[in-house]
Amino acid sequence: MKRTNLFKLTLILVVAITTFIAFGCGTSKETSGDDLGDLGSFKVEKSGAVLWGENCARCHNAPDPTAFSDTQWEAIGTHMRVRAGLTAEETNKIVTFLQQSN
Amino acid sequence: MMGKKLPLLIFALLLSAGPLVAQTYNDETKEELESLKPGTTNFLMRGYSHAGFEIIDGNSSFVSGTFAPIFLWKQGDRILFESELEIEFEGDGVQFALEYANISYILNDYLVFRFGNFLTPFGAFNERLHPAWINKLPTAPLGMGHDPVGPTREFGAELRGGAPLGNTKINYSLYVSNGPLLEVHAEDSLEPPTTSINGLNFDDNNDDKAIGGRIGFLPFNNSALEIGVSTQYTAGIGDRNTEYNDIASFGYAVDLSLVKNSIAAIKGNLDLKAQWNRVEVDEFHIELPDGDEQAINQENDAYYVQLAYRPALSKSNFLSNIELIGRYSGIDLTEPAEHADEGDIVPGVAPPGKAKLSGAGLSSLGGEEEEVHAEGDRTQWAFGINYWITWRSALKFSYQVTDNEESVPGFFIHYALGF
Ligand code: HEC
Repeated sequence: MKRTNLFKLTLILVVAITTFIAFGCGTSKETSGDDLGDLGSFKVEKSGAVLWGENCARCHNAPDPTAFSDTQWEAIGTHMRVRAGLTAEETNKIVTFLQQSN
Repeated sequence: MMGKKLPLLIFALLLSAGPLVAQTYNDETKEELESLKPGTTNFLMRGYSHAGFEIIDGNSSFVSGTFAPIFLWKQGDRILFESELEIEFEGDGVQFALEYANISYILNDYLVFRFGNFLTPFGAFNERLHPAWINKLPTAPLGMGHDPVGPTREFGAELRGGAPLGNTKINYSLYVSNGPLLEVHAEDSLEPPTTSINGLNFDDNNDDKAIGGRIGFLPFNNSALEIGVSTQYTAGIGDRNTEYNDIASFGYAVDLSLVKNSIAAIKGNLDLKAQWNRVEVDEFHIELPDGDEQAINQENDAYYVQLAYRPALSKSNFLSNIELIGRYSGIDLTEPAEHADEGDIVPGVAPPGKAKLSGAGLSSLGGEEEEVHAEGDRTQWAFGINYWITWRSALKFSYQVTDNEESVPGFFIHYALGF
């Protein structure tokens, strides 16, 4: 059980430090309008490109838009929507972005 | 007990899905028919493979791990069929497995109905991170590869999806499935019976179904952080009409993913992944050759944390493709209990999963995880350097040390390719 405790401690430390670096230091060339967030009822609409950057790099490297054809992106979009639990809106915007950039 | 509730549950699932289907069907019948005409069916074959060279505890070998083709059919706007074959060398031959095969039907913007054989949304590694081109290291974390603590595949039906929640997001999955299967073999009256828990229960051994799910919460607007909680419960995992039929199994997992790209201060990307799995099985007894009873009590844990850094903003093209990875993982299995009279060690129960093993933690894993022929708890440090040739192909170098009684070093060079 001791090992498990050591693991918990290490985990908490690593998470804390990483979160600090990831959120404390900001992103270069931030385009997503993150900082605006939700201003009252005014919500910043995210573009397909931003959604692609935020959602498609969480599990694997963000895919290169040129890697697939328009119809292939359709099938992959649905595949990833199911796998990652994305909404229809997110998926449609991302697929449209990929189809425009390939 | 579950047996009576099950039809009700399925009925409720269908009932909740029915109106959605009907409504959208009316609205979009025309569109739907259009999109089902020949020519709009979209077939795609994808997959991944890896090959490499390994030195484990001084023994070197070239390995060709896996060839895993994936087939996707998208029919119209609502139907997706996905299937993966996994072909790998094992022992003297080739092992051919159907990793998953299922059909998804998109109910609405936030909900998908899926049935068939699917990867279990138990934690994140199994469902989201195991393919060779996604997993940053050549091996799986202890207890999350082919000797898993926790379920890996289900035969069942599932509702899943995702939705925005103010400035945050959630994703969810809820399923009913055949669940794990407890097998007790007493082939030889001179040997103690061997027991195993197998995740591949395609011909359900009883009427108790597993109920499980996962909720992922993304608290930040930029989706960088996801925290997931999963669980699975089965009221009975033994064969029907046996003394084991009401042995329950309960598992839960917590996973975390933090991915932040292009961080100016460190000139690159950070990727943190962590997961904890735990499975508890009710105590049960097996009869030993000398007539005594042996209690088997299962509480197994597996955990890992992995941190990767890629200097993606570096001006050097070479450096920006390099990724450094460190991972700590461990597996804690219930120690096989001592036989009270003679002190024999009775084989423990293999953790649930697709590998059918006898003896706790014994594993022989086709390239996914190093072989450690020792029982019980292990921990492991793994360090890797990857060179990313494209976004889904990498040359991976890694060094890992696995500790149980003694330290077993391993060195790996793998080439992983998603295609
Ligand atoms: C929740 C984790 C996750 C997220 C988020 C994710 N993917 Fe994937 N992706 C996977 C997994 C896992 C596979 C491998 C599927 C398999 O082998 O079963 C994959 C495979 C792929 C493939 C290979 C072809 C295929 O369909 O298998 C492409 C292309 C891809 N993803 C693109 C994307 C895009 C575009 C996005 C953003 C919309 C995305 N992914 C988001 C987990 C994810």
